[in-house]
Amino acid sequence: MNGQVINVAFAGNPNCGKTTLFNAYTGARLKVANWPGVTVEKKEGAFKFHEYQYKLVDLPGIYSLTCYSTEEILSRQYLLGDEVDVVVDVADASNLERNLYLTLQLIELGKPVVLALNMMDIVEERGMELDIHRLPEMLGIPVVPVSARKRTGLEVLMHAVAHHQGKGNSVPVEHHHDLVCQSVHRHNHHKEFAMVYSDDIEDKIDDLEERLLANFPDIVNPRWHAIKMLEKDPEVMKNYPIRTDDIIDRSYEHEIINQKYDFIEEVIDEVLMNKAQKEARTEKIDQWMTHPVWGMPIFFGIMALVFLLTFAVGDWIAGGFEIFIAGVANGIQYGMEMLHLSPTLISLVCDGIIAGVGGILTFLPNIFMLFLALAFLEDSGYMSRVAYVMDGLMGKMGLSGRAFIPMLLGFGCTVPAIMSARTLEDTRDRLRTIMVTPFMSCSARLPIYVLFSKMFFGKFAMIAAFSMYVLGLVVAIIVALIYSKVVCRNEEKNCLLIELPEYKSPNARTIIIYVWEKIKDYLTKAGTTIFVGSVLLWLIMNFGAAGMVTDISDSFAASIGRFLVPVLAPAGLGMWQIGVALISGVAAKELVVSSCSVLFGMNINSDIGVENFHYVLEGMGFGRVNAYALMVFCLLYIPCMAAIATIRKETNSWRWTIGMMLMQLIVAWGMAVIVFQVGSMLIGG
Amino acid sequence: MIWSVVIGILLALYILWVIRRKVRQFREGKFCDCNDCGGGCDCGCGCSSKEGKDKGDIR
Repeated sequence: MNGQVINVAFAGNPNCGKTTLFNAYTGARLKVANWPGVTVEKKEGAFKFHEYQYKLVDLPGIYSLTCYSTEEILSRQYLLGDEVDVVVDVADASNLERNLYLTLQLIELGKPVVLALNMMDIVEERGMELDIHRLPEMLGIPVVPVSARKRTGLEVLMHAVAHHQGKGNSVPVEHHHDLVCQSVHRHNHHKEFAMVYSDDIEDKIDDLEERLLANFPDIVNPRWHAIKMLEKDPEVMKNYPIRTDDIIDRSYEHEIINQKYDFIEEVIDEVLMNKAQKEARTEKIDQWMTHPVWGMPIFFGIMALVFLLTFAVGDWIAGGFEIFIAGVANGIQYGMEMLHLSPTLISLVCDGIIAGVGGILTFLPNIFMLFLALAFLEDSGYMSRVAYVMDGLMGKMGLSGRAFIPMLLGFGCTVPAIMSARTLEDTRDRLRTIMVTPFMSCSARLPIYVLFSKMFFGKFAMIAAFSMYVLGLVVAIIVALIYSKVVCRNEEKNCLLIELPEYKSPNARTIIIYVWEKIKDYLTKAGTTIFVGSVLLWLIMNFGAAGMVTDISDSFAASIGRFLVPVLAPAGLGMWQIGVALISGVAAKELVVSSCSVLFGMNINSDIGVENFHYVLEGMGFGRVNAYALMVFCLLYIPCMAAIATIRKETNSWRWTIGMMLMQLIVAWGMAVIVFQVGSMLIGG
Repeated sequence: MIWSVVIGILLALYILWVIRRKVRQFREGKFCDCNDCGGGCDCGCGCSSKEGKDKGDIR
């Protein structure tokens, strides 16, 4: 018994908390969020508890075990295999009616099933009550109330799993209802199975079972296969070719589904008390959040609030942070001078690494606030509403409302945003979403906006920076519209079918993990990509064809940058330093800021440094229109290398990837030129 | 002088390590952090779960 391995599969509807439960057991930090479809592949983890070794598999959320979607096929194949000892059916107790449909199908599979009633805290909050004694009687499986968020009931659930493994669904079924007593089935199935169909269907199931056993004596769970045959399931029909025309005259899928829902209604009537209070809070909030007129202004209002927090509160925290960074930088410089290190090395560390990495670290408080706000939005359940609210507008642009979720994720990072487009079923919809997602302003671009808007727009800095997010969204929508009109004419629009999850007060643990992982990622990037990028920039700035240079205009950097000057000049960006900074931004967008710091020889770790940088730029004829054109160019031009590689991987086409990059460069250049030329005419440089 | 050489070598080694790591990650198709994708990519998200083996604690 000691160290015995139990293979447990977590199955359940989308957004019922499977991954939160999985994380709670394994200590993993897989992404969880309050919208359906976060997990699209099965994930494995393990942990020891008492004398058992548990191997957990987190399956993608599914509504049924039919084989219509990729997730359903993947989950069904895994559950039917020999690897699973116990299935933990994670159900959202606050939405039991919908979740029980999958439960009944899992029970029919014949594997031991334990029902984990998740989100019991929400049931209580709503004043509803569940009869936890009657539910297992009616379903014939153990039922354990848990709260993955509050980490309650977790031990009991694993106890139930350990006791239930290898036993089948052995809890005695007690139906009690009148229909059962009048049953005239050839076998009294009510004692054996939770879900019993009408007499004619049960007779057909019995006949099919007999025939299946006669032809395939080793078949596991012939009842489930017989039911699937009645539904004319293509996979089962193909795998078990038997004569069925004398039993199955048509598909009975419709009746089977309806009778399952009839039974669920009976179960709900018996076990759920105070049902009337259900969803009261969510419905009240949604009256405003998904309002046909107010929904969109509310969304833009919320996003404005997010960026107000990012700028106002972020800058407030940044004040103290800058002093800390400046202190560390001075300490390092002093230490190096004390050690009498070579002046070249001191220049490399101070003018290259500290200027570049330190310049990026200054924006950490803003990044922290941005992700904190996004985490609140994701965990509260608002994301699906945005998809719903934007569906009308997105539909006009040839995209489904669901495509807006990857676009919103793009405010954080383009890489996972592009990958999350996998949840879109239509391939063209997916490609269009991948194409426009990089226009959404990722967090790596934030330091560019903060720096340049602070320098050139004074008290309007926040508005200037926020306009970048709105502009990115508008350009994304226009590009999608043009693509739809030119490439996908006469294409039918897919209807949006999305579950609107319950609003929840965001979970502190989820938020902390989310924000910490993002901060860790930012710091890691500063210590690796930005570090190396800053060193390389210092090298090309201090060396030229003739070796080390004293005049920076003889350096490799100046030579490279000068190539771009004629192209960038119409956009008001005709300075070689800007050209080099934009090239370096392809490695990581933060490098644009680091490069400016290194290439202009300015220390932007402090307010004084930023002010000096402002004067230097103004002295070179770089005014607020140039700054805004630069921000626009950085917003729209090609994404970072990681995002490019992801696009290539997701589209599986270099043609698409290169085509997208060219399109983004043209759009960025065109928009920057328009901004600069029109801006110069209106207000002057 | 000796300190300049030592620090220079350490810096060079670190830069080489970072570049090697990035190249390896790109070759393996790991473009993001494990927590980002929620299983949406083949970036080896199992790594978080493997950590979980040692951390396993459900109390």
